Amino acid sequence: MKKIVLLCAAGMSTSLLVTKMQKAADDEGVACDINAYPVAQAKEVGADADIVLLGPQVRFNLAKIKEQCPNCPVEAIDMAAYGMMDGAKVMKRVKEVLGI
Amino acid sequence: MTSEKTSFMEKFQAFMEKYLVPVGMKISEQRHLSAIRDGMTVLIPLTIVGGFACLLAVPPVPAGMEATNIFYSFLLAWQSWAAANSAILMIPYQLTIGVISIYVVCGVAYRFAKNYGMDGINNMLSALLVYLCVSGAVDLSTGTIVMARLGAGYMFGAMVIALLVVEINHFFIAKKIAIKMPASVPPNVAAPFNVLLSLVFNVVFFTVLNAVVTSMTGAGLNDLVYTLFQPLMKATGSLPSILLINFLMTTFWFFGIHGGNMVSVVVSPLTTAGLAANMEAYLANKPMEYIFAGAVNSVFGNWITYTAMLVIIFFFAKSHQARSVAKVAIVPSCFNINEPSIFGLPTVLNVYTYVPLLICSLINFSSYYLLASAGILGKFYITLPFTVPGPLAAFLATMDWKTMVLWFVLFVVDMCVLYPFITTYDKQLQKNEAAEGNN
Repeated sequence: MKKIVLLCAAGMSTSLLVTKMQKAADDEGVACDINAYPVAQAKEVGADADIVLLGPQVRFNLAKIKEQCPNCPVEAIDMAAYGMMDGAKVMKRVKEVLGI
Repeated sequence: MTSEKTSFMEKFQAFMEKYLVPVGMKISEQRHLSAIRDGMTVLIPLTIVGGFACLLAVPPVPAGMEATNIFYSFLLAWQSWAAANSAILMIPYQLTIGVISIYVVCGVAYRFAKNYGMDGINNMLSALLVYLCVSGAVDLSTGTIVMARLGAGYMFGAMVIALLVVEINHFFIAKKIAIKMPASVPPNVAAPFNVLLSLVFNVVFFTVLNAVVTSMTGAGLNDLVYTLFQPLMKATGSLPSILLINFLMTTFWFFGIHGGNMVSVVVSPLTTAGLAANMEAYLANKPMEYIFAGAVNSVFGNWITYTAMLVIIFFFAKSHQARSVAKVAIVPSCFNINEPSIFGLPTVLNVYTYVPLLICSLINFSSYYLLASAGILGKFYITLPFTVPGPLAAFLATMDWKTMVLWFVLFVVDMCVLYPFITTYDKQLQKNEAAEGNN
């Protein structure tokens, strides 16, 4: 079970992506637990995550979040994929990074 | 074609990283400002509860209204029920917005201490104690606390004291000024002693400072801060300043950076204070003073424009990209979540959307501001979750149906402004798609 954490300003717009990603993951048979949170909670929610993804609108926080979540990869979500709420594309990237 | 697109995105990202990211980082990470912003964010649920209690207890019934139709008789029935139960109904309001400074001092001190990597609870309690000592709210002769002295007007005093107390605690820790306990003392026993010295210093220092200020100005520290912040609040709440703030917000979003987050370090303390002051005025039956209050510059800002943009696309656009984004984006947009449009259309680095967004933000806010300052429209005095759809939010936050009418008028105006820009952009997208198809 992979734990995927999505962060944006209030956790609202990334929560839209969560459902799409979960569906993509289920279709591909990847067991994972995906959740969206406000960026202010990065430290708590990122502690036991396998990967942390930032919404592009808060990507200026990247360096800070990397510091707060040193144990897992942290990166910003591709803007085009985010805009289209393309869960499959974001999932593909997650699999690349995690090597699954 | 695809390679061109990636290289554009790469260029864009490189540009952002070089120029805009550092600016964004600096603003959002300024530790005092971000502590105030995050500390105030914690209060939103409290202000929502307080606002609804206030609304229940004091329904918006104009004086002299008669039960001429079913809606009016409903309001009048509500009013007499509320009058009979107001003592109970007002408690949640009085204990939230009525004493909001208590929550402000706690929220800001906690967040600021966390920013420094210090213990949250200890700092929060120290700041609360110091604040109560200097608030002038405690009347020892009768053993009571005067709630009015912990209300909206004293929020700025609460912010300043929270920051100073934590700053002093941080200084004590950094300089290792503490009572040293032998190593054999268990850590849980030693911990309270570590903060004791700085707590004593804080209480003594601020009590003396408050006494000095009182003897010099006739009023305490809290009133002094209030007087100092008053001109700032007035200036920030003026039309040109709000238009500038909205211009900056739209511009940050143009670069794909969360504009609201960027300006909220300055904006949210002022709009929260304005909102709480308006509610106090409403309850005291006085005219409300602040137009720049609550979510006003979001509700009458670009939130209208993004939704209007999607409607234009549904009616007039033919390109595959615009139409498929609109399908994904329309429902979230009704609830004020616009990231799908922003990154999907995209409006990021898109001049065709940037120009009408700017024009619309100017028209939208100026219209509301001028009508509200002329006394034609109600002002914002109730907090709502930010996902409440625009027209409903305009109505519920002001309890004035005319603001909802203005919302729909502006929605149509925004569509007219958007029409030429969006259709031009759409033609370009169609051309690109046709070229891609030919390849």
